Amino acid sequence: MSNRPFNEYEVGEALRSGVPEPAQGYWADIDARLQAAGGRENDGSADGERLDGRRRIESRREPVNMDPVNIYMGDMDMGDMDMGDEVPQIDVAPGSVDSGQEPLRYWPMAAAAALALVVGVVAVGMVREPRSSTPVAADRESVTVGVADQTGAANDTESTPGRAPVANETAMIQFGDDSSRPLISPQLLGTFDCAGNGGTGFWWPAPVMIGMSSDLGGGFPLELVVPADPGISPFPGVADDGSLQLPDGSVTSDEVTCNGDAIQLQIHEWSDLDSFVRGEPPVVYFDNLVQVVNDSSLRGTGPSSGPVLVAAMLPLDAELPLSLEARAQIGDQSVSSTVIRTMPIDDMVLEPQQSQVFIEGPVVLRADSFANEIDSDG
Amino acid sequence: MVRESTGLQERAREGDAAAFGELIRMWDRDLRGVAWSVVRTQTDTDDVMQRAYEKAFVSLTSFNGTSSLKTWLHSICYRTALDHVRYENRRRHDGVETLEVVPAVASTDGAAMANLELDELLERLPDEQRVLLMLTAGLGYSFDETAEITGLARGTVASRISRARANLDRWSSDVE
Repeated sequence: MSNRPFNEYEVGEALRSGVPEPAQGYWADIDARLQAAGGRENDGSADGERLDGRRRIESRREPVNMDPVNIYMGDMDMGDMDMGDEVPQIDVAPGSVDSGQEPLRYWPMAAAAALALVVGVVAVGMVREPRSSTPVAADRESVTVGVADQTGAANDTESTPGRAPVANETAMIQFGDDSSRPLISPQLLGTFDCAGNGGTGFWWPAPVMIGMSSDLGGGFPLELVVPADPGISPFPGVADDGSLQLPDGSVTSDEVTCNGDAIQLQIHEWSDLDSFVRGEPPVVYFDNLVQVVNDSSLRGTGPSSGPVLVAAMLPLDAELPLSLEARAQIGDQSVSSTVIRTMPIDDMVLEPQQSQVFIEGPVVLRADSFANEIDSDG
Repeated sequence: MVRESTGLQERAREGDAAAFGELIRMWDRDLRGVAWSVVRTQTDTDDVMQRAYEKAFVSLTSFNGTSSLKTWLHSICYRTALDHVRYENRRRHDGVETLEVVPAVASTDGAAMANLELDELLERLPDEQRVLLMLTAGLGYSFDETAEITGLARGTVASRISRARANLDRWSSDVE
C-alpha cells in the first residue's frame, strides 16, 4: 500500500529499479555508431556482443539536424552501394588508353559512383545550408544573446495600447558542447485582454527583458521576468499561481468576462514565426503556464525563429483577434529591425544569488536570422 | 576504479571509441535512467541512448572539463530525450488545432488509488518532475548539478522537486 509519505531513499530506489534493461543488440548498435562516427577500429564490446562494422545503421527518426557534428557519411543510406569499393575504380579513368581496360567497361559503375557522390554532396549541402556561416565561439568566451524591440531600445517599455503587439525578437545561442546549433528562444508577442478597452479588446506589448541561464553548456530556458511589485512594474507576467499580471499591475481574476463568457488565461504557442505569420493554428495551453513558457524553447523546432507566444485572456475556444495583416506586419518587423551581436560574458549583468543573466542592451537578430549569418562586433 | 575511469576518459577524449564504449557501459544504467524518466518506453530509451552516445562521442573534443564527464553525458542524454519527445509530440499533433496539456493529477478516487504502489504514483508525475527526482533522489545529484544537467535554473529545479514530493505525499495520503 502506498498510503504514507515516502522517504528519499524509497523514491530513489523505485525510480532506479524501474529502468528497463536494454534490448538485444543495443550495444552492438552503439558500437557500430561509434565506429562510424570515429572511423576507428573498436576491438569489441564488454558484454560480449560482437561489433559488426558493416551493420546497417537505421536512419534518424528526427527531422534534419542542424548540428554539424551529426552529419556523417556513415548515416547516409546509399542502398547497396559500397563507395569504399567503387570510388577507387574511377581514379584511373576507365577505358582510357593508359588504363588497359576495355573502353566503357566500367562506365555504369563509375556513373553510379559519381551519381552517389553528387547526391551525397547535395544532401550534405542541403543539411548545412541553414546553419551559421560564422560559428559562435565554443570556448565560453562569448555568447550571443539579446533582446530588442523594433526601435532598437531594449528597455523601451513605451506601449501603444490597443494596437497589435510589436514583435520582440529574442535569441540565444547555445555554447559549450553544442555551440554550432542555435537555440532560439521564444518570443512573446504580447498580451491580449479581451475585456480591455471597454470590452473591445486590448493589446499590451510584450516585455522586453528576459532572463537566461548563463553558466551552462546546454540549452537555456527562457523565464519571463515576473514583476515583484504589482502596480509598479511595466511588465506583464505570469505569476507563480498561474494568474496573469497585466502591465498596469492588475491581476486577472475569475470574475472577468467577455460577452458574458468567463475568460481564462491562455498561452497560444506557434512553433515559429513563419507558422505564426502564415496563420497556422496555435497550440493553446491553459494550465501550468509558467512552466509552459519556461519550457517553450525546448519545444521550438521551426527554422525561422523560436516559438512565438501570445498570452491571452479569452473565453474558452474564443479566437485570438490577430488578422493576417497584423501577422504579416509582425513578421516583416521582426525581419527588418533586428541584428545579431555577440557580447562578452564579462559585459553581462549578473544577478547575485542566481544563475541567470538579465540582458539589457541592444540586440540581437539579423534579418535572415540564425539560419544564416551572425554578425559579431564583440 | 577512479584511476581506471580517468584513463578511459583521457583515451575517449582522444577519440578512442573502445575507451568511450567502456565508459558508457560503466555508466549506462544511470544514464538510461534519465532518458527513461522522460520517454518512458524501453524502445524509445534505447533509441535515445544510442543517439545520445553517438552525439557525445563526436562532441567530446568540445567537452571542456568544467563539469564531470558523467554530468556532461547526463546533460546530453537529457536533451536528446527531450528532443525525442518534442519530435514525437510534434509528429502526433501536427495539424491539430488546439490541445490542452499537462493533466497534473486526475481526480483521486480513494478506492482506485488504494492499490497504487510508489512506482505507479511516480508514473503519474509529469515528466519534468519525474526526471528531476531521478537525478536527485535516484542518482544522488545535487540541485546545482541537476540544474547544470537540465539547463534549468536552480530555483526551478528546487520548486519542481518540491511539487513532485508534494504530489506524491498528497496522492499517498488520499488513500487513507
